[in-house]
Amino acid sequence: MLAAIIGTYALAWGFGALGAVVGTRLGMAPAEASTLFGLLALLAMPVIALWALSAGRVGRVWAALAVGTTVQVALAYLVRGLVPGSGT
Amino acid sequence: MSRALRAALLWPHTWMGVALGGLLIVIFFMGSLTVFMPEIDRWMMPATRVAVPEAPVSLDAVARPLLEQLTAQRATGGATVRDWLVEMPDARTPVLQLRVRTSAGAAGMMATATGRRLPPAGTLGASSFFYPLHYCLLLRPGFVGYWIVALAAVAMMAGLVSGVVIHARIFQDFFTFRPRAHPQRSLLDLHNLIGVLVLPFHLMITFSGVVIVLPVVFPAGTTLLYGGDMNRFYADAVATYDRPAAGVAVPLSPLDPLVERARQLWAAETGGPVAVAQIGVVHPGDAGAYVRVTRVNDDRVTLHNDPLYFDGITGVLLARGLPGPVVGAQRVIAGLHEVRFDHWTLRWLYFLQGLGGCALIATGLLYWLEKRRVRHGGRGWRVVAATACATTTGVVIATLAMLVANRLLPAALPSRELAEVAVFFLSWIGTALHAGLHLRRHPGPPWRAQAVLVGGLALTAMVANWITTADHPFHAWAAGHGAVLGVDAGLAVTALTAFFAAWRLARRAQGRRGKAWGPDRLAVVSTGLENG
Repeated sequence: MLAAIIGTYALAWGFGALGAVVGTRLGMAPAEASTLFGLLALLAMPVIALWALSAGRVGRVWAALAVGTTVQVALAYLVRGLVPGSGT
Repeated sequence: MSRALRAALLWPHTWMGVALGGLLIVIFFMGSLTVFMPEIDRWMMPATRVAVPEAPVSLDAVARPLLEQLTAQRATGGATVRDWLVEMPDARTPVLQLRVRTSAGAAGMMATATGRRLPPAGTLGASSFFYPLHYCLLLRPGFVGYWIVALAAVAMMAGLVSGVVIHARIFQDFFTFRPRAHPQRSLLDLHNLIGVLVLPFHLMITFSGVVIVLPVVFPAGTTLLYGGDMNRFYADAVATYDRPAAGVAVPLSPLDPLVERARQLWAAETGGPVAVAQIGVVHPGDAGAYVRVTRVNDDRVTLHNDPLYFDGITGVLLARGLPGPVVGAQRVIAGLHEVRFDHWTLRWLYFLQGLGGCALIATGLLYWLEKRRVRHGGRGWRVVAATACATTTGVVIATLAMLVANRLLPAALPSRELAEVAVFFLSWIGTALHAGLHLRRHPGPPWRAQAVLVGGLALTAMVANWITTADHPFHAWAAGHGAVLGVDAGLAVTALTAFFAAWRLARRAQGRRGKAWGPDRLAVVSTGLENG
């Protein structure tokens, strides 16, 4: 249950953050990119939560959510460093 | 859909419903009431039952003197004025709403279109109580309530998706309702039927509800791209304009010409008349003053109110808030949720489908309770059953008790609006305690007693309105108080439905008692004696 709630939010957060910085890097306005990937992450959230809740192996769920989140957040901060004037 | 997937999704569907069902019913119920928020406000604030102004209200002649009065009251002892805000009257809210913010605090008032200052409402009304209860449970500090409601909404979305997977026979379920079957069967039939019938609305309303508060509850992009500064994000997203006060006193230019220019600009673009929603004056009386004029969105879905910013001294158009395509789409999705557009049929559909959401969750919850009553029936079951009772009939009782208090509490009562809120929460707690105590001695929650109470309170509220305001149906009809007539009709329908439900529950209980001593039971007793 904890994995489903916290892990889903974290994974979606990583996706929203990575999408926002990549979108900005590709020329979108920061507010536009933040909103677009926020909306997409929200659409994905219930599906990820249901997968996390219904999956048989809890360990695999935790691992997938943790790895997915870490990779996305790390990439987001890495890409942000390449966006001029972002994050200030 | 494979059987294994359906089985895997059954428990998240069930437990999300049991854990968050009560909260979701409250959110859906308050959201349904919010559809008719202005009408309920007119009912709860009798002084605002005034005629709709036929011509546009002059800001300079009507609003400005009142704003200056408010400013004089608040800006004492060297306090500086931050801004003025005027909400213009419309067909559903026929009064001016004015607010002044100063460095010493804020003050507000309501006035008629002729400039008559109305007495303090003495109530929070639907707009300041039922509405915030819907979107943040009145828990504003730290946005805690927003987070809880958003979590419940995402759980609802997950519940809807898993519900579609579980009920593979979605088309058959739509045509299956056996009201005279065993309660468990009837409840599940009704749960499936409502679930299928209202599925598109429920998916839309839960998704769009979270979309409105997305930057608050999901600040991923904001954290990385704006350093977590929400104000900067909003300023960027909807292109707001701001500038500091200059510190030099300069008289504000007349406001009516600016409002007229805004109207003309919008009319030229849309090809029809556009009404003004709000006029904000930032730094009034300062050389840095600017005026923000926004439009009414009664002719379109979006919540984007197309703000125009004018210089408060020269009247020059400084800026126009235009969002980009994605933020524009977000504003449309938010508009789908808030149903600000002028369409009575859709408003009623929103209201009924919102109540359908309450029925969907309640039937699911009751099905779960019925199923476990025989197997468990212990203390834990009683707690869930009492909670279910408090969040279904209980929340209706609390709402109606607040309406009764609104009409019966003396107008001069100090902090009258808080007394109404106290009545709401005490009644609500009372229904939970009543259910808990009842369940100690009876096998099921006190549905019948609480249904009778719902009916009684609805009738009392309606009659109390007639007596205390003299706005009985004939008078309301003659005076054109459609909002009052509508709320009274809603109360009458609530009372009839509640009394009918109580009567049906009583008949069912009698039937069960009759059956207990009927031929089946006698046959068992008889067989037992013969064997003995």
